[in-house]
Formats: sequence, structure tokens, C-alpha cells
Amino acid sequence: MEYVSPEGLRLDGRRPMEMRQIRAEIGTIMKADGSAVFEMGNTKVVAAVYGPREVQNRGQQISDKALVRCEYSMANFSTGDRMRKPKGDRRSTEISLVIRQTMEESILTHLMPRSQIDIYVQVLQADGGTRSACINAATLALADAGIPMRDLVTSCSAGYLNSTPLLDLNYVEDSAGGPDVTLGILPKLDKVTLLQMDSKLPIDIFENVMQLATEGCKAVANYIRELLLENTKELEYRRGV
Amino acid sequence: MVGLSVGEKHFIQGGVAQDLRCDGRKRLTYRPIYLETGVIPQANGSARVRMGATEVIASVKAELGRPTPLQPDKGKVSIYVDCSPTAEPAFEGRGGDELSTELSTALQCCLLGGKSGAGAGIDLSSLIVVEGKICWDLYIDGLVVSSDGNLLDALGAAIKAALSNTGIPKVNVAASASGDEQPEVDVSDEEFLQFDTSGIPVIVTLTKIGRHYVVDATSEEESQMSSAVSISVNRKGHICGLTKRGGAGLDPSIILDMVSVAKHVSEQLLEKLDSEIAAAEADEGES
Amino acid sequence: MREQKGPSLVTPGEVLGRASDVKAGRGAYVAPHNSTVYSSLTGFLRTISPPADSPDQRPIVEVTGHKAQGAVPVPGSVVIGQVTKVMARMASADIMCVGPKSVREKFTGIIWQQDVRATEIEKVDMHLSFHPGDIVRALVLSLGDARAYYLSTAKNELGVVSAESTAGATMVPISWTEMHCPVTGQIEQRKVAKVGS
Repeated sequence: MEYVSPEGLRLDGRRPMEMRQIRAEIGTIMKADGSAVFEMGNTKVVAAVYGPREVQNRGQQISDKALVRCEYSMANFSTGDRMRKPKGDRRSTEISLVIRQTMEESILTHLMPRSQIDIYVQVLQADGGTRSACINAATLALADAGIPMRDLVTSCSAGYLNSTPLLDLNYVEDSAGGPDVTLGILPKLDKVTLLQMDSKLPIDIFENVMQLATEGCKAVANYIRELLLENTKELEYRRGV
Repeated sequence: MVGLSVGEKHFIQGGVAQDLRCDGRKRLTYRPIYLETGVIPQANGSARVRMGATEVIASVKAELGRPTPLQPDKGKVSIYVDCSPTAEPAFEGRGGDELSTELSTALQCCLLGGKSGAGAGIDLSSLIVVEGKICWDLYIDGLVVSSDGNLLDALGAAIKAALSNTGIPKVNVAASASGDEQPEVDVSDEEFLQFDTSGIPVIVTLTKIGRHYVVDATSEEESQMSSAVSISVNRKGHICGLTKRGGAGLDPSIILDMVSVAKHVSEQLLEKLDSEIAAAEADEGES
Repeated sequence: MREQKGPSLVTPGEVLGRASDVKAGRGAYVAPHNSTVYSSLTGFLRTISPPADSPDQRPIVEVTGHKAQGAVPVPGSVVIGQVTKVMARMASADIMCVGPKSVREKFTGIIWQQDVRATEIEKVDMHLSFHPGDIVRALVLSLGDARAYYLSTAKNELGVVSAESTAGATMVPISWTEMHCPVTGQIEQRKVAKVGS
């Protein structure tokens, strides 16, 4: 199957180095301390952050740091075939762990000892790149909740099909069986916090693909920063500053 | 959550007695309702409803299946509600299961009618393709994204909107099928039939606080309720289903009174929902 | 301390200066590996000049976010709580307010027998000092153990502020050990706080 046409267009009309349309919104769930909706093309994810609050399970309390917990769930209608079991399956558990470890690196947990921060991510529509969309949504929700972080964590995926590095794979491209690199970085500090890949790639091509993913992450970071600044300006304007 | 203090509880109860609630509404006024259809493009129909801080999403997926032998001329509908932990940290893991089951059962009771399929709000016989062999199975999924009381009404409204947004693909049946053979079907990708939703009821929940009932309670008000009755009423004013929640006993005359109040309120709600759905579909058609 | 309001907005991870030039205040942190001060919140950046007499003359950079964080009890702060349990040697209370602000989520505090009052601390009878349901004003002594903050009512203005009698009426304080019920006329014993000037 041809994923990149001879003219250089992908199945959905994008160029190889082009990301899908990003759209995000902050503060959609009023009850949560912080919340955000993040869309990358057709992938739509909502994240809510509750915390810092008192630890519910005394046995898990850490005396000098905050406890970060995360749960990832997919809605029944999020994939093409209706899913029977929205949570608790192995993939959800693995992704919950991945998101938790990635966000924990960036949160300044030592500032909130003996407390707990809960990150809940719900996938409304899945069309490839759900892991990245979840991390981006979680970053926005944490920033909205005012939780101190080292830096924003942004994530993007990239792959290699028909001898071309492709940025931001959708579901069809993802299931093509080629390599799929998911990258999460701290953009201003220039550090990598998440790197996952399946299938195999020669090392020099891997470097290209990772470089492409890094640029995608930086583009997402710029968008997120713009959104946060605009949101804060809007809030200050409403408060009459 | 700190919970409500004694003073706050008195304030809510006193306000309800004087027809003035914490957010300024009257007892029988709904919060502003925002409705959007077509939010899940992969589904056959979908809608998102926001009432105050309560937000729910409903989606309808249609798949071909066999009708049950007991009712060969009717399609099948199943309703399932999931409570997302984004709405409430307590819904994490299996914490939301109890509430999900309660909501699913209440919705099934209100919308689907009895075991024989009679009296269903949704017309099941329109879902049949080949009698006895092929019918449409509708899977209606609700997701509670944010919860601030009155989940049942919001889910009922979302399901109604999602069903009016649903397009069932047109099916061409190969003529030569006989006996027990499964006929061949050709599911069209282009042509869609709009579902007939004029008979679908809307759910009105009346929450009893003190001696009065309020409509569209917030979660603060729900924590003060003695009991709640959810009544589903359709356009003709017929009662399609009734559920009572809460432990306090109610005098039968009060229940009859609540039913008549619900009928009255449902007329306004139906009108509002119909106009919102029409506006949402028009928006979706333009975009 | 003079304040210079810089109207610039920052997001987490933005560079605010070198650690040798500026000091990190609230909403900012120092990255150890390259000694740079970064922002940790989204909000307005403010630079505050240090007081003239402090040895460290670097200006302090602060980022103020828009979300108000719930109040948290700090040692030395005065809190208002409601007594939940009274036992032979201690009483536990739910902390509801810290200073003038109410908390987002309640904290648990313990008042030990020796912290109830300042005099004759071994002879204190807990049941004659507090009853469950009383509203008390207390001082936070320390963060306590994993389960609760340690509180003290050993001052004149600390102790029971409001209480209900067994008949259900709000009682009136008569002395620092007694409260009077207006409905039944009974006198009940409490460690009463001195309210007023």
C-alpha cells in the first residue's frame, strides 16, 4: 500500500513533515482544579487534574514529595469498533504508567509533600497519536491547575513509511506496520523525558525521525504557550486588571 | 471536599422554600442548556450536552445483527453509560461502576419500554432490515465528562439529540435469499436514513428538598434531597417511564402531583431541546 | 521593599535570569545543572528588590498564577476547627479555616491533653474541656505526625468559640470554664476562648 504518493502527499493530503491541525481549550471541567481538551487532527482527548490534595490512601503517602497518580481511559465510542471494556485492560494500564512517569519528571513534587496529584485522561476519539495527545492535554491541565512544573512537557509521534520520515501518524499510517516513534520533551530545557519505538530502524534513519519528532514537539510547545498566555490575559482582563 | 456546613444546608433548604435557589433560579427553571451535535464523526450519531457544569456526551453506533427469535420484527437497542474519572476522582477504576449501572438501568427503563418491546420510546420496528434475519443493533453510549447534578436529564437530552443526528446507512438486500440462509446485504456508504425521533421522550427529574420539589438540581442541592423521582414524558404528554431514587418514603398523592408537574415542565424542555437540536444541526450542516 | 511591576506574562520553563543575578521566589526555581532561574507557573512576572539590610542583594523574581491555592495550615497560624472526637488524653478536630480563609479540603488536627491550657496541664479532664461538635479556635504547633496536625488552645483567646448544649441551643459563655444554656438554664463545662478586646 502506498502511504506517500509520488508527488509527496500522504493519504490525508498532508506533506511528510506536516502535523495535523491542533486545537486545544483550557478549563472545560469546572469542578476539576485544572482541565483541558486537546485535539490533534481527529484524535480528541480530555484531561482533568485534581490536586494537590490530601492523600487518600495513607499507606502511599510520601513524606517529602507529592504522589502523582494517573488514569487513562478510552470511551466506548472512541475507536471504529465499539470497545467493550473502557478501562483496566493492559494497554490502558501501560499508558497510564507512561503518562505518570513523564509528568512526574516535570512536576516540582518536593514543593508539595504528603499530598497527591491526580491526572485523569479520557480519550473521546482515537485516530493515532493518542499517547501524545494525552501528554499534551495533561500538561495543559497541570498548567491550568497552577501546579509548579520545571517546563511544559510536549509530545509528538513520527514514523518511517515508503522510505520517508513522516510526522504525526494517524491511525491508518500507525497500523501500517512501520516504525512508530513517540517522543516527549521538555522544550525549553531541551531534555527528553519519553522515548518509545516499536518495529526496527537503522540508526541513521532513526536520528532523522527523532529530529523530526523533536520539531513536532517544539511546534506543539509554541502552540501551548500561546494558548496559556492568551488564557491568562483573558482572565486578567475579566478581573479588571 | 469539605462538605456543606449546617448554615449552608439551612440556606439551601430555606431558599427552596421561598422559590429562590443558590444560583438565582426558580424551582422549576432549568440551567442554560448548550447542545452540539456531530461531535464524534466516527459514530453514526452523537451529541454533547452541557447544563451548567454538568457535561455529557452520547454516541450512537449502528451495526448489523440478528433479531432475537422472540421478536423477529424488531431491532435491538442497548444503552450503556460510563462515568469518566475526569468528572469525579471517586470514579477512578471501578468506583464509578455503581453510578454507571444505575444510570444505564434508569435510561433503559425510561426509553426502551417493557421486555416484550412494547411501549418503547424508540420505534424498534423501523430498525428491521429483513424480518427474522437481519436487523440493526443500535449501541447507545453515554459518557459523563463533568458532573454537577442532574445527570439523568442531561443524558436523556443527549441521547435524544444523538438519535436525531443519527443516520442509518441504507441497505440493499440481495433478492434471492430463502429459508435459513443469510441474505447478502450491501451497506451503502452514501445514502443515509434519518432516524425518526419525534416519539422519543425526554426525562425530567424532580428532586424533593424539604417540602418542595426542584428541577435540575446541582450536586449541592442533590446532597440535601430526601428523594428524587425521574419521569420520562414524550411529546404527546404520555408517561414513558418512572424511577424513584432516595430512601425517604413519599405519599402517593405527592407522586401524582410530581407527575403532573413533570408533564408541565417537560413541555418547555421539549420545546427548548427541539430548537437547540435544530440549531445545532444547522450549524453542523454549515461547517 | 520596593516593587517593580513587570507586566510580562511567562509560562513554565521560561528563563528568568542567571542564578548569580536573581534569586528564585515563589513560582520560580533554580536548575542546578546550569544555575539558571526558570519559571514554574503561568502568570505575571514580578521583580522585587531585596530589603536594604539583607546580605543577599539579588532581586527576587516571582511568578503569580491566577489560580488561588487552597489555604494550608502552617505552624504558628490560628485555625478554626470543629471537634470530632474526645478521648481521655486527646481531642481531634477537623480544621475548616486557616486565618480568615476557608480550606478547600479539610485537615485533621489533634489537641493533646497537655496543650489544652497553660496551667495545671496534667489535671486537665478532656471531657470537661471539649465536646464533639464544638467550634474551637486553636494555634498550629507543628505539622505533627502522618495523620494530623498538632494544635494547642493554651492561650486566653483560644478554645471553644461556639458550642451547642445537650438541648440543642447555642450556649452563652460565662467564664473561662463554663457555658450557660439559655433554654434549660444548665451550665456545661468547656475550655472557653476569651472573645473581644
